[in-house]
Amino acid sequence: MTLNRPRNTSSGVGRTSTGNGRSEGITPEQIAAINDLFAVHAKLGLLDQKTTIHHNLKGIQRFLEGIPGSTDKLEWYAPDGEDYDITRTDCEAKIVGCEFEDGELKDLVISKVHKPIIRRRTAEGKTRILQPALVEVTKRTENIEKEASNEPTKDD
Amino acid sequence: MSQRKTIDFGIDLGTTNSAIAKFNKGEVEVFSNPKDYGRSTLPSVVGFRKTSIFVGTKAKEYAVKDPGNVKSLFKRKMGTTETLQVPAIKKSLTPIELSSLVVKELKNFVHTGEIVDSVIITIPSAFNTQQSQATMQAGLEAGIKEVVLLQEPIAASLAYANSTGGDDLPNGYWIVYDLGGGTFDVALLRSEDGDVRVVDHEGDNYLGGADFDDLIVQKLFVPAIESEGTFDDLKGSLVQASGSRNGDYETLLVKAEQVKINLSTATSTEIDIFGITDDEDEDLDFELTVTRSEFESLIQETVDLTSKLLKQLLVQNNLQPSDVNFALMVGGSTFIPYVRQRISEVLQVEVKHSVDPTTAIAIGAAYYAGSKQASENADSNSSTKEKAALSWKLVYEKATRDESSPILIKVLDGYEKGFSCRIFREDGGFDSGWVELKQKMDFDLPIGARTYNVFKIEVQDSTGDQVAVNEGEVHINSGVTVAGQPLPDDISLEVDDLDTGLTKLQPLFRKNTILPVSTSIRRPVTKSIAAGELDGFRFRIVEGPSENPVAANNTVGYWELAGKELAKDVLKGSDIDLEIEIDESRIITIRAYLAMSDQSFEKSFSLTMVDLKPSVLIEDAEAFNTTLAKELENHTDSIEFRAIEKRASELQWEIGQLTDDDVRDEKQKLANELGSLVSDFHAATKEGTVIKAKREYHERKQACQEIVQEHGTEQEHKFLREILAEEEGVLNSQSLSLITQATESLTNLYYEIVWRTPGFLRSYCEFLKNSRDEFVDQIQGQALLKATEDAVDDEDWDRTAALIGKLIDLLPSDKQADAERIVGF
Repeated sequence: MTLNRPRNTSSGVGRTSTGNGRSEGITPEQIAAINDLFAVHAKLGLLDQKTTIHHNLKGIQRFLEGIPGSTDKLEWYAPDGEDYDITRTDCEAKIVGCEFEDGELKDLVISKVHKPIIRRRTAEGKTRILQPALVEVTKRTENIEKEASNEPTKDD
Repeated sequence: MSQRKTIDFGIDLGTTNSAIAKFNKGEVEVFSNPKDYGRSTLPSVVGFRKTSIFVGTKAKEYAVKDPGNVKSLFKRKMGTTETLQVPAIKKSLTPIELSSLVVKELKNFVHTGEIVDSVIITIPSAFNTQQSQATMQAGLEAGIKEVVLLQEPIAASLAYANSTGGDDLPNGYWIVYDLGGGTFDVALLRSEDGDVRVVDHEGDNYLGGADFDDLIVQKLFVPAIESEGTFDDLKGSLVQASGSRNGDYETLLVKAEQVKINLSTATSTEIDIFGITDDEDEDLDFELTVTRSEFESLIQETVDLTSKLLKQLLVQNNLQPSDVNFALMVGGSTFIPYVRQRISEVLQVEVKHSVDPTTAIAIGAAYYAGSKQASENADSNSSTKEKAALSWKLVYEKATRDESSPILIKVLDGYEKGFSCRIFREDGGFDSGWVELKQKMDFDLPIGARTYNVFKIEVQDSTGDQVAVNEGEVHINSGVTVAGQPLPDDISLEVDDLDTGLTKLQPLFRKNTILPVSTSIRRPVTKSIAAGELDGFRFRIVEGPSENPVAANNTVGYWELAGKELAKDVLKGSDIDLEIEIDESRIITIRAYLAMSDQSFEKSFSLTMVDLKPSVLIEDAEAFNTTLAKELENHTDSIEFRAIEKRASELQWEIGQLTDDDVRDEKQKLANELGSLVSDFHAATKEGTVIKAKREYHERKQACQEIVQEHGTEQEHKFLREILAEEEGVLNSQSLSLITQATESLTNLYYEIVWRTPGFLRSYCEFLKNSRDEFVDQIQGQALLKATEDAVDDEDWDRTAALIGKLIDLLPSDKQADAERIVGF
């Protein structure tokens, strides 16, 4: 049994599989640009919310959502504040500062998102994950929930 | 009025002779040595007494009296950690320190009273990054504030082209053959309407006139001396620093050089050998006659090596000798008639020696210096640093072949109504007259053909008083210009190879790319680094063919970024952005941005030396011989491999004979030869590697065709067709990287499908169930395994695949074929 890894997880990091069914028409640069745009949104979230730069970013976002030669769309999403457990496959997590009861990973929450979940959505509404989110996870407390809910997402 | 300051000074820091020249408004002056009867070159020799240091001809003469305290040929050791012992001052000096003494002496040639703050120093085009940086350091240690490097063939071309005003420079290819005292360079250049570009070059940093001197000593003097007296190991006693006759060796080298010079004009010459005592304390004193034909047969092999490199240069550029217009000969060793004759025979084109081979490089360096702006920090000469009342920005082309050239003036500060300005050419060829100054205005400047055009711009106020401006001169060269200097070899970055667990090279810049140059790349981090830990990222930049294995290339930059420098943990899968730039003097700078910790780091690779300990060389040679032995098991009948093996084992023996205090260049030479042998071996196995890569391609293609046929979507069928449509071109290209890339595309397609194939996922799940005891975290492992089994039951194959990926991460690293990550990206 060879231990090759699935290509669309961060375990298979660094492997790009452009041109196949899942990511046809999408270049690694487009995915990288989406990650950059996501980071810009996150950083701007710390600044004055009234800034009109969001309008300019929206234009870039519309461009990146499109897939040349296809009616499919790309969408991305930050799962901030959502519950996390080890079996979530749309996130690659780093678990920080948790003491576990009975050795179990319970009551975990996504506290920070470094890369969003990127999905390809077909005209029929079917979605497939192109990139799992890269997240930090911690024990759920009220503070963290509040903090997480203040983090900007694509829809902000 | 402040002047536009160009570097202006050019230095040829040669292995055996050096020179300094200055550009001044289109003309170049070679400064002569005030202490040496106006000689225009300075022997690159430094002599030491207890209380004094002397450089040049005097030092050379002193070598006969006290050879141990006279140092020469140290350019050949630049970029290494070797030091040269100087008993008189009880110190060991580096090649950089010795070279800086030569540069300091050259500065004294400048009789104009100017301070040499900025300078162009030339280097052989085959100089690697360490050697280049060592040369720059020598200039800085000589008190020069700004040193810009220039490759010698470019300097020679500029000297020649400017000496003819470009009239004699037909469009097309030409050759610069530069055989100096210590190095050999051959460059292929192309000129087009006065613009000169270095297309490619070859060279050998350990081949030059000094080798001819050494050959005369070893092959003619030593046998003659042995026949005149009684000696047990004459050669050993001469060449080793601890040898009893090491002083005589220096004396004999000086005599050999004289023989060589004499034989350039005479067909035979006599030399007196005296002052040597044999093992029985007998003083020897005899006359030796050396003929030109004896000398020519001695140097034939070395000269043939230069013509081999010349032919190789043409072949690798798909050129015939007849495609070359002419060859320009520079470097002191091209005075040797045999060298001129051989190159003329090989090329069958005109061989020109119209520029003085000894000063051509310095002259060319000065021409280049005249076109390079000095940095503001390095300018000590502008005594008139009065504050400008009016500052403007002048935009124009610094070099043009057009009859006129536009200039745009944009006033930035100090503008007043009523100001007027006037622009005129210094040779009287143009005068705009006084015109009203506007905040933005332009002129069309008529350009004098094939010359250096100097325009002056003046401003006066409404009362006619002159107004000081920040920039008052415009220099436009309509002579010959060079496109910049090319990289001597590929520059690559070591990155993790995800398929093998080893590392591989990612090319950054290709050979002959014109400097300065920069690139940026983004790579995913391949291992998580916790803040505070010692493990981290490794940045290794190498110089050499990017197809080579990492270890075969020359490391020019090495930097480790440890976890303790990180503000927070950096996870596998996050991004690292790298910007890499190389400036004109080959200083490499890396900027790394870690997205996850939101931190930027910058590192410039300053002087990094090659430590050439014989023990390191022995290890290298042994390792190479082991690799060779393995390869030979599959190629027992290969004559080429047998030849490489023979030379490799000879080399291993020769390296084993080296002593730590060997004063000759043997260590460096043997290291270089070993390096070329490894490259030859790589080239020889390349064919086999390509065949292997093609076999892998066909195997992967068959597997891919089968799985696409059975499980592929319409898009995957289309993608496979696209890959196969390129097949003929890819396989016929014989390019390893193209074939590997195509195989990788097929592999990716194969795994994309296989990782959603129920049979494969079910069997993988079974395998992991059987390995459950090995999970490094049992709680996570059991939870994930349960989830995986549920996903299989639900036939949710995307989820199954993703969960299996997480389970693989929980297996011990030795179970994960590609788990080892070395570099970190």
